[in-house]
Amino acid sequence: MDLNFTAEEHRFREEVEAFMQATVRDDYRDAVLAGQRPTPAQMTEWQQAMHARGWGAPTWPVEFGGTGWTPTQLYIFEMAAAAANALLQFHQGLELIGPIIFSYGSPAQKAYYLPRIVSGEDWWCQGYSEPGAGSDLAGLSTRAALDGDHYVLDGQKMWTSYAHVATQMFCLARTSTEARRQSGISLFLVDMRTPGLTVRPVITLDEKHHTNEVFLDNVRVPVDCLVGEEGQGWSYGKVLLDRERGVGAASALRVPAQARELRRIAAGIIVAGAPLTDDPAFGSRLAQLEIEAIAVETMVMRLMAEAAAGLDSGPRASMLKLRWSELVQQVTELWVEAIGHDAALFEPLPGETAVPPGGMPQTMQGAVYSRVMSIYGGSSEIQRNIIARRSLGL
Amino acid sequence: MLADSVDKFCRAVHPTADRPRLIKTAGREGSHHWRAMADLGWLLLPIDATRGGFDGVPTDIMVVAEGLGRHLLPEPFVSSAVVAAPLMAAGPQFEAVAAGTARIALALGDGDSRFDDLRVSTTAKRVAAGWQLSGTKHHVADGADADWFIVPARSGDAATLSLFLVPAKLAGLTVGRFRSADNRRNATLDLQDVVVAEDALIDCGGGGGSSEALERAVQRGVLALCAEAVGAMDTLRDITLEYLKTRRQFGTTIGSFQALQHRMVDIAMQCEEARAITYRATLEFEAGIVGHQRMASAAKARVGQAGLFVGRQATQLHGGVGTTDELVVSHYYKRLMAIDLTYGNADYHRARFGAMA
Repeated sequence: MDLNFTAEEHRFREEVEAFMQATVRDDYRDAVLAGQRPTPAQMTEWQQAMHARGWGAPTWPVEFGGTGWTPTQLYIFEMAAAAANALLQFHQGLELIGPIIFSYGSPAQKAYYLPRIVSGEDWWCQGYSEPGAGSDLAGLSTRAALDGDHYVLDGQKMWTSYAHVATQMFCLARTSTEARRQSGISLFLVDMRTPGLTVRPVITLDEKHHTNEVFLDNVRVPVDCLVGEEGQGWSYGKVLLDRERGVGAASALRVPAQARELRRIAAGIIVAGAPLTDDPAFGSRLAQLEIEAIAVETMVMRLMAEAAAGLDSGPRASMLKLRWSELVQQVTELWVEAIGHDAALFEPLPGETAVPPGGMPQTMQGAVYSRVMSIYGGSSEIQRNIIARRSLGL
Repeated sequence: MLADSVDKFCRAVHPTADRPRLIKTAGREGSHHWRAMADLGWLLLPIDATRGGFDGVPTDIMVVAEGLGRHLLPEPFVSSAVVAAPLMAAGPQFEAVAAGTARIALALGDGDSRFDDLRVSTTAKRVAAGWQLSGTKHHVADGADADWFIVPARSGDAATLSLFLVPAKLAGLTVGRFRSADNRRNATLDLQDVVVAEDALIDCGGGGGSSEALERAVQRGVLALCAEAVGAMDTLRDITLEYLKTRRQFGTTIGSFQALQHRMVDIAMQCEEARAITYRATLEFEAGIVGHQRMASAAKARVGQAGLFVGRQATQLHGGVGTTDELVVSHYYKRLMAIDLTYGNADYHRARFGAMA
């Protein structure tokens, strides 16, 4: 792990820092620090700003509209983005379906879909989970039947984040039933305007609408929206494994800033005449989280150095997912405790105009929402299984 | 018998499965439950027989609070009936509160006091018409629907803590009414030179009587909230256990996975431990055993921690569905978060316990 950069890399860092300074707004910063999900409008604006700068797809090869950055450049970019409290780019197009399309898609699919992801014109949602297929994704039962030049999709998807704003959905469906459940699953690209597709909101515990159920009732998808070969959809996910560390790294790098912000907020909370940070119990808990955040941040630095050197990171991407999700939970929950009584004041009652002391807290929303982080994208339990099996040979 | 009665009542008026829907319309106007609870006599449990109450002991109150917690009934039993009402002087206002036709709330969270309820910087100044009160209160549990507030303030040389009965509608008093994250209706108070009559001062027997009465009231609240949390935790444990036994993934029930079994065991143990320390602190308070105040802090600290653990792990074991507003699991979790923050969180009570050694 080499912390020194070349002169050229230093120039690149200054370039990124200048962009961040000019582009990151206060409302992005507030959402990032409080652990909240940004709004769809914020995420679209951010993608458009990145695209306008030529950085719409930082991790993609140049031929598909990416930056072609080296792993070191990516690392510099992520560090600078985190330092500026920039939003994370919405990953479902850029980090999930985009790489699958450029690895396995047809020339026509590449030509049509990829530029629209980079520009932010298309917003993709992921039609994977189902009521009966959560952690056990291979248990999915949505069916796709060939009918002339269309596949007909029937079934139900769950936890389809942002389906209500998405223009496209990539969707796993069963095209045949085999003994090995992972076989017979195909991957489709579905226009959200297709008749028969219904989106129902699912409100999460922060009382916000991030996610949905999607019902597919006789949804006719043209055969040229099948990705790769029929029945091979499951295997295409493999290309994403190597990319997970990138998504995890960006999230993990936001944690130290969240802890710093908590320290700043707590220093301004006066308890019995002294800053809350002087309270030994609180001070000790905050310091503990800051120390853990440094350790995890350094794990990211190692991961990115390994990527730069072309080395395999083994299970460390899973470890990172586990740790950053836990740390965001702990930081936001300590933040709630710091604010104390005022954190519980969720919103004025109807007809009331009063503002709570200290302003309307996003804190509680961020803290309760953080519970989803150890569940989505492979729960902490699944991550531990992966580490045990793939890395420790258990 | 009391436990059965509470359980039956809550099942009828606030069925757990309907909670996510019912809570949307909850509010003082939409709720007849409080009057029904008055009719059942529960509001008189914490009141002395000399004032027409039932002289209930702390364990009686524990039984009611646990039952309300089990079903997450959003009524101000603890904050109003257990904590605030017994502080009131006899008179028509007290009669109305005891009958359930008026509501009372105790104004805590004074200025920069955070959880130290005896640190009061609200002032009470003698004026011709009575008393003039100035200060802020950040935490008035269930205060949005209160007709009266009990406001602690310091008078004279600032050494004397007094309690004042303040009507909700009064010139200079700003009541911020909020829905809380756990769907309660809380309030903040901003008192700017609010003038109350001479008889607004509650007679607590002079000397340190008001401080003692306030501490005792908060301790009743601490213990009742511990009981409420224990009830809520038991429900979460039961719901989660049922989910582990029925949810199927990877061709089997998820409860067959050892990692989840162990987590479930941890949840069950936290429930047991919280119940045990709640019993201990409540019985010691009831018997007046020396050090019962310190034991109340031990209970609030431990129950706060256990409640957060159970709330978080119940959510985690439910997976995605646990994080929805449609499933009651997240409602219990948010109530347990709010209970930890009410009348002092785990860190505060742990420090208080240490300081009282």
